Order: sequence, then structure tokens, then C-alpha cells
Amino acid sequence: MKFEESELRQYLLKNLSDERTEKIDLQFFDDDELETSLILAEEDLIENYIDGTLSSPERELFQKNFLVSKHRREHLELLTQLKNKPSGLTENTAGTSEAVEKPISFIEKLAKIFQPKFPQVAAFATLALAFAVFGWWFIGLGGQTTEIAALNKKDLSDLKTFQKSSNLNISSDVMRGNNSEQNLQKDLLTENVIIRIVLRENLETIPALEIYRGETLVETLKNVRVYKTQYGSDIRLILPASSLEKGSYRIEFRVEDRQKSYNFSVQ
Amino acid sequence: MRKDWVLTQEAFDAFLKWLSPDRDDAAAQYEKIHRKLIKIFNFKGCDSSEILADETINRVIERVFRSVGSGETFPIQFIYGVAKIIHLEYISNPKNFILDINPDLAETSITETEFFGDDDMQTCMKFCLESLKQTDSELIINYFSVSKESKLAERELICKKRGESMNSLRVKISRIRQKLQKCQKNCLSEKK
Repeated sequence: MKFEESELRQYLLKNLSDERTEKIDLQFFDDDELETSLILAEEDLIENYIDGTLSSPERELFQKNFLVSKHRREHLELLTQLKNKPSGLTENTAGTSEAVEKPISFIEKLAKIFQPKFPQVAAFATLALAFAVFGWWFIGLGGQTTEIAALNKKDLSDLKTFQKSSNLNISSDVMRGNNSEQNLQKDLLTENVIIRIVLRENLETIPALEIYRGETLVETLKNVRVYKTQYGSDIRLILPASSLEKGSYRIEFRVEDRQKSYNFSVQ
Repeated sequence: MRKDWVLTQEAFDAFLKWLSPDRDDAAAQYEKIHRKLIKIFNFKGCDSSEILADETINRVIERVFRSVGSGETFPIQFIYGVAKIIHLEYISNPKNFILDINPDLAETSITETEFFGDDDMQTCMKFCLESLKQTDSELIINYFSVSKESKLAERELICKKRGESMNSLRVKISRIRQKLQKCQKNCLSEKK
């Protein structure tokens, strides 16, 4: 069954009979085209609201029944910004020098400081850098894993201390797989990333916790502290952003003879 | 949310068997149902769609395991029935479904947007537009910078230039917008 866009709008505005609402809901499970139609109807409703082209009753329903979630308010905010043209960016300047400056990497800074004025110093710095890179390569990941282990000895009970750090919350249960929200944007990470895994069990410590990137074991943490919250407990991990490469990660540990596995990805 | 029942592997296996005798097929169905539930809750304007979907599945697993009313109905209808109950519970007390999963950060997430000034929003918007492919950022800016009076004509012109239908253009714009929104959300959370 195909639904008219006008009916889908009423569905989104919660202005449809229970019977028709149920029909749309049930069809939604097996109809990917309906999902696309609903997304487009939602986009249109928000744009019409900004343009002031909704009818008066629709506008009222929009404010009362539609604009109820944070996600939709963010969507409205974004479209409002786009329709007002983001300052400094016009149709043909996206991606040019007028846009926000990207952070300069350490190597770029080094090159900027030495290259034009002091070629000899630049040569020395390059050699020193080469030795450092070789040393890092020689030591391998050992140095990084020691750093992760040391970081995780920190007391993370006061989360406010880490308010400015990137964070990822992974919910329970053992069966839940990865989902769209459980990922980190590599380019936007702060120096350290806090990962919280909310548990329903009341535990003191996790004897061993393993972090895999793809199928490669990248870190094993021993005696991981479990923090009590008023709703249960959670594991809090702190990982340096430099240790997180783009890819799929899996955190594994055992609780009462059950293997628990949590996925996230870095994009 | 109810806390008196704990999900076990045995119950989950029974649930998968109820979905389909073939385990791979059951696992695929489970993933699809879970994803669809999240979207349905999103379309109903819920803030904690993933938690609501998780709770729906947990309740269904519990009922299937205890064989409560699940025997004579098709799985989708049964799951949908449970989802409706969860939705009603959410409407009557949405905080129950936020606090349970993310207690310490729940309050900040409710009022998050209030912490950001216009400057942060603008900076993040610029950053996120720059993070897109240049053709995508130009397309979305062009698409939305038209006046409401000439919107249709100008967008038809964009379609003509690109050689694609209006529906396909709308889908493309929606995908770019979703990427942009996700980036902006991450960018703003970095500024907290």
C-alpha cells in the first residue's frame, strides 16, 4: 500500500486516526520506501515551518506534537542556519579560505617554523624526527599500551573533570550490537576520550578487559575499576585519541561466566 | 523502566527461535526489527529511541521466554503491540527512559542546546560544511538558499542541471543534511 505525502505529514503531526497510524507503523517494518517517504515528509514539514507556509492548524500541531524531540529541534536549527546562508560561506566558497581554519599538525608547525629561515636547523630537526620515528617504531605499540594502562589507573569517579573530553556511552546488554550512534569522529576527538559502559550488574572490578581493533587485540587492561552509580554501575575507560585509528573496535570482558562484547567505531 | 527481569542467553535464544527456526535468518530479522523500532520511535518524536527500542525487545524476549501471549500472533504484530505500550509509558514519563541508561549526563543532554551561543553554532556549521565533499556542501547551500517564492522553479533547475529527478535530489539532500547534523552535534559537544 502506498501512502500519500499529505497523510504522512498528518502521521508526523500526530493528527491521524489510530487505525491509519497503526497501518503506517506496521507497514514500516517491511517497507524501506515508506521510510524514505517519511524522511522526506519530515524534511518538507520543517522547511515549510521555517518558510511560514504551514497552515495555521498545521503550525500549531507542528509546535505541539512534532517539535518535541531534541533531534528535531536540532534539525530545525540546522535548516534555519542553512536557509539564512552560513556567514562567510556562499554558494561557491564552501571549502575555500573563507571557511574556518583547520588545526595545523605538529609536522606542519615544525615545517613552518624552520623551513624558510634556517635550512640547517630544518635538516637537523628532520634527522631528529627520523630518529624519534624510528625509536617509536622500534618500541612498537608497547609504549602506547603502557600509556593506556597508566591513564586507566586514574580515578574517574568525578565525570565533571572530564566534561570537555570526547565521550562515548555504550549501553548494556550482552546481545546489543553496534548501532549508528556508537561511533566517534576521529577529526573531532579531544586529547583523551572517555568511554563509559553502563552495566546492570553490581561489580567491584573487571579482572581483564580487552580492546580489539578489527580482529587485532590492541590493549588488555587488568583489574578495571567499576564505578557505582545510583542506577547500577559502569566501567569508565580513558583512551588517548592518538591510540584510536579509524575502524571498528570491540571491547570484551567476562562477567559471571558470560562474555560481554561492546562495539564502537571511529570514523 | 522495569528492572526486575534480567536478560539471559537462554531467553535470547528462545526469542531468536521464535523469530525464525533458522538462526541466521532470526539474527538478521532481529537486527532489522531493532533498527526499524528505533526509526519508528524517532518518527513519533521520542528522544530516547534507542533505549525505547532496547526496552521493547527486552520485554518481548521476556514474554516469549515466559510464553506470555506470544504464541498466536505474528512476531511483528506482537512486537509492535509491546512497542505501543513502551511508547505510552514514555509519553507519561520520558525521564524514566533517559535516566536509566545515562544518569550522570541526562540533565546536560536535555538542555544541551542552551549552552551554545551563535558563534559556536556558526563555527561548527562552517567546520561541518568544510568537512563535506565540496560538491555536497555547494549543493546543500544552493538547495536551501533559494527564496520560498522561487523554490520550486530553482530546484527544478538544479535537477535539470544534474540530470536527476526531484525525488532523487531530495533524498540526496536529506542524506547530506543528516551528515551535517551529526557533524554539528559532535562539534558542539566538543565545545561544551
